Amino acid sequence: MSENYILEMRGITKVYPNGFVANKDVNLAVREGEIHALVGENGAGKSTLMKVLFGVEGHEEGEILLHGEPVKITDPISAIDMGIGMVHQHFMLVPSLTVAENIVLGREPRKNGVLVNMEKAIQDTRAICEKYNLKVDPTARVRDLPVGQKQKVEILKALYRKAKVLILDEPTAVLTPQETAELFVELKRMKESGHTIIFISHKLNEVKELCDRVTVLRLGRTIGTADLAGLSEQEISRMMVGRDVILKIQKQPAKPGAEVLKVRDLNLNSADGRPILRDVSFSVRAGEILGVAGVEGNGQREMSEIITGLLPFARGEITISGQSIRGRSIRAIRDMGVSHISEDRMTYGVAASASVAENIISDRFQKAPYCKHGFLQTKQIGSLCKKLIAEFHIKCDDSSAPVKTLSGGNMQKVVAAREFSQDPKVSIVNQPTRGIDVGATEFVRNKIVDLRDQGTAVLLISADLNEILELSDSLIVMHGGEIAAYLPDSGKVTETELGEYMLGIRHQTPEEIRSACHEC
Amino acid sequence: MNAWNIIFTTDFAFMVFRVTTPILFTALGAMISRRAGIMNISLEGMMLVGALFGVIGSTYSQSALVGVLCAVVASLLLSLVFAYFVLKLKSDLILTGIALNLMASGGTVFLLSVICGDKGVSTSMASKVVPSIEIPLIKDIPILGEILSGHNVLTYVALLSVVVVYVLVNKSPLGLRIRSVGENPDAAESVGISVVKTRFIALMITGILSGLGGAFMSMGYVSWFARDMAAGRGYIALAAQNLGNATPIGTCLASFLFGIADALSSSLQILSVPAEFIQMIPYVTTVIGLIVYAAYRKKQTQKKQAAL
Amino acid sequence: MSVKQIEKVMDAAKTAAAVLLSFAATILLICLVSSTPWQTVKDFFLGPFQTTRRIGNVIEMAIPICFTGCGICIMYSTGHINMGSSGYFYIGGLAASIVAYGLLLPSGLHPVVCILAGGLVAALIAAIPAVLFSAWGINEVVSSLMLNYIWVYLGTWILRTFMLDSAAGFNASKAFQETAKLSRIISGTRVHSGLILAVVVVLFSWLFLKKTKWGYQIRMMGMNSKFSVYSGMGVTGILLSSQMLGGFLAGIGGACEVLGMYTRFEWAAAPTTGFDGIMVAAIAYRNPALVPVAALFLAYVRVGADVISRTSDVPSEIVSIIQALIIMLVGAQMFLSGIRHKQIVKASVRQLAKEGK
Repeated sequence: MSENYILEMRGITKVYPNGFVANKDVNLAVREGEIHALVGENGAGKSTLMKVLFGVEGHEEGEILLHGEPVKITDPISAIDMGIGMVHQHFMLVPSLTVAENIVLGREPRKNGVLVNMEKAIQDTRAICEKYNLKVDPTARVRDLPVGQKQKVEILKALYRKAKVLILDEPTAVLTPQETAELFVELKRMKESGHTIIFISHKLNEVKELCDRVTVLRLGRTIGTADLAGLSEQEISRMMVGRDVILKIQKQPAKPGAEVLKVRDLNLNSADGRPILRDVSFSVRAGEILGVAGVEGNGQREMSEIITGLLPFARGEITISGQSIRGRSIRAIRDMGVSHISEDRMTYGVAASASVAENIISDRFQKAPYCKHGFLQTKQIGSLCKKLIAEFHIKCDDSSAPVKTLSGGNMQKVVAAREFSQDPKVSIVNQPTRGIDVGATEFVRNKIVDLRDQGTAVLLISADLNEILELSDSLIVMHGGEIAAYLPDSGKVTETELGEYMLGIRHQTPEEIRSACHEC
Repeated sequence: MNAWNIIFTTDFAFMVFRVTTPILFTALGAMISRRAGIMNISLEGMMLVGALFGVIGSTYSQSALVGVLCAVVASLLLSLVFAYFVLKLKSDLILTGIALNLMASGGTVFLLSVICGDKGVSTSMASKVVPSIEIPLIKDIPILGEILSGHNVLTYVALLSVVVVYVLVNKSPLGLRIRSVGENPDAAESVGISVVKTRFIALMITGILSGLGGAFMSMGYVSWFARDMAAGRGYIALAAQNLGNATPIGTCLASFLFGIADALSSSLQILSVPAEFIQMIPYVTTVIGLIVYAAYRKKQTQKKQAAL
Repeated sequence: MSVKQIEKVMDAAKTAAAVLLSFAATILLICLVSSTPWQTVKDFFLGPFQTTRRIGNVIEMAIPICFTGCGICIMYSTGHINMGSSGYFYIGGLAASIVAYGLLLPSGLHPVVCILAGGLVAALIAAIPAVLFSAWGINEVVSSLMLNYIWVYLGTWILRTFMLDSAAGFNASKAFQETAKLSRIISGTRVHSGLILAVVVVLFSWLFLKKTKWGYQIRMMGMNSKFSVYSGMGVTGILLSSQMLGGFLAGIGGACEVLGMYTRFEWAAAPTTGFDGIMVAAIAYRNPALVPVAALFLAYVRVGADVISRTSDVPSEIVSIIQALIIMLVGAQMFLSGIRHKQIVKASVRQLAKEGK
């Protein structure tokens, strides 16, 4: 019953306008004064659920109860008024303002009714700093603060607005180990003073250390809620990482040839010095699909952008069939036989207002037969488009239709049609089936297998377990910017094993990882 | 007569203050728009409209004060049109600004012609002038007195505006919100601040300040309105706030820099350097200033990157 | 109707609505200002058609605007707008004039060389804002506007110092050689052979933008510059070349105007043609094929305003009000957006039904 439940979300269903079901009949019950973990992989629906709770998104079905009473949360302001505070993953702070200014923004104490009473603002800030033992300098400018301090300011913002329930969204993603330890001390103190905390994370060791109970979401549904006392990380991992339906993909065993893509000792640091990639080394051979598994944000995107030339790199070596890509333009890298399906098709993959034809030829419009004496050859382009539209089952009026009128799945097929049709040596494929319908998903995956069978070396980055386990021949798991494991036969990998590597519970020895490099 | 004799005199310094006034007003306005996140291209038009309506208002009321008020209201109205098109109708920022400048340029001549039959200047109108005043104690100080005292009231208002704008931006709730809306609109929305409303207010303040700048031009610097008399100052003001890194003090200093350039172009005409080159000085200064500033900023970021 | 067709129809509707609203505002102004409103309104709308000379005025005024309009279509298609067309038009005219009076060349060749000179000089100076942006991130609007003033002052100095014909009685250059001038082609008007070049330029611009690989890159950059980078296009080069080409076209426009309508170089300021080109490019939705229509429309409005400035007490500057309103309304995304959105949603629903979802 609703004993001691300060917050309940019952039967929440959220469907996005494009038809994607983000939450299906999700239940969450949080006791007053506990630290409740909300875990799940990317795409499990945690962020959506919290957006619903914080009033950023509406919901189709279900209800929210606070202290047992049903409430309607229409926007962030009403959520704040009801005592719910959110500490976002991407901080909502104004860099040039001071800590105190950021905290009182929107509720500034007044002096003579006209000016901001900065002294009172600083005083109030100091007061809540004291109360919750969150030490920040109220007069410091936010842009000068290290990330850990910025996060404290976010928390203080919520506390200043009298939040009783605090939602923290992946708070330790950007913190150093020290800052994480400090944060935990603070959170425990807040719990003691009667606050309730919802802790969203996929770092199971932290969840175990900090939280009282955990709710696991997977693919938009609640898997279960349990006390953390008796639960091992492995057990949580098994709840999080698993497939309800195993979609077998028809493919022949791989016949890997020579090494085509060689990556050695790749290192990358962020602008504020944190390591994004650490000593990453692996090879992809012709005719094989090497999957890259891992929770998002562990360096996969940066890695794919470095290999395709979108990001520069300082330390490491990357060669395609023996030729280094260092210092080369994106065009030169593409000419070396590299194709790229980017993570977000709307940002890089397509020009939405341009036609299907214009999107398809963007990597070959300078070459014969599509260009002669500077003029685009409409006939050749037309027959290319006709061929590809048929081959890739792209549903559109015709090749002059603007890409933005296509469904997500068809848009992705346009990207695939372009990137797969020039017989590439290497194909970097990042989240190829994200946000597209089942039919298109199956189609694209089959095309990836075809590509492999034609001899392309495919690097497949995906957060979709089915995809990673069924589509790739062998796989590497990335965690914390490093390769945590190399598993030469995807068919033999269990979800449990994969989950443990992905969540940092297990780590292979350096020798095992080195076998990802096929020195042949 | 050579350049040094002309520049290092109190007369020149006095002129610099005069000439800087319209630029300073408008640059402060540009600064507030910029802080709210909008590059306001329509300043030129606002100044022109302010200048014309200052003349019209003071002619019909025979009061300089009413004239200045009319200037401010006219410029404010133009800024509201700009705000409406850009914020509500989501018009292209640059096209709208340019269009409004075009409208102001032609529209002011249109109105001038209709009212007094002359398309070039408004001298046939008995418009009023904002008076100049001496400041009691300062005027007796040896060199400074000649430079600082005896200016038009609006010049002193402009200098005071620097302080007012500083306080507004840094110490008032509105200033806080303007800054947050300009730097991180999401952060502002997340605490319930309406980005559109705040930007509207910022643009209105810009309108008021630019109106004052326009009023000074036709009621202080000279005592008539002439077609296109803003002569690009709206754009120079934009460059000034850019150079001043969108801070009140920096904008003030940058405005004075351009004021010096403007004053030079008036004073040095008696030298044997061709008139056109001297008239070019403010515009060349702007371009060079922008380059120097941008190159400096680039160097700073490169140094930071190399240090990683 | 496909979504693409809906977009086209809605664009046309938006332009038509903008024009109608501006005309309504104009009529209102005329009624407020003129002592003979009904006659003035009639003169404004019908005046340009009433004599051959006036029709000729419309055409001759539209010619230079076609050049700058096409130039801006090309420049703006990258998403970067360069406001320098006034300056490029002016300098183009200046450079052409120097060749026109200074060199002795046979009559077929002379105008060609003049025009080329105008275009090339303009192209060179058009590169400057692009370089300033690529190298230092300097905002092109401010830099190009400042440079406009600089070019006109520089040009005036050059005119006064090197080109002046002291016998002329006003600030004008030496007279052009007969061989350099562009001849009249429609009797009873001042329409000159620059009209033919204007047609060529429109055709060239349309072909360039829609059919060549350079135009393709320019348009893709304007639609999604990240997509261009990802596909391997060199965006810095595209920016520079598009600005220079736009400058070239504005320059040859100035050259044609000078050689066709004048006997000496006598511009004391940059003509309005540069900014007119911006308006024309805006209402033509950056499509060179529509530029002539837009240019003729603007010229028609200009001539109408000219007519009533002479026959009534309404000053010709009323044009700028029309221009401004049209630009702002056409550029407003939200103008009529509700209708556009509804139509697109309807079409998408039909589309999905077809796909059998």
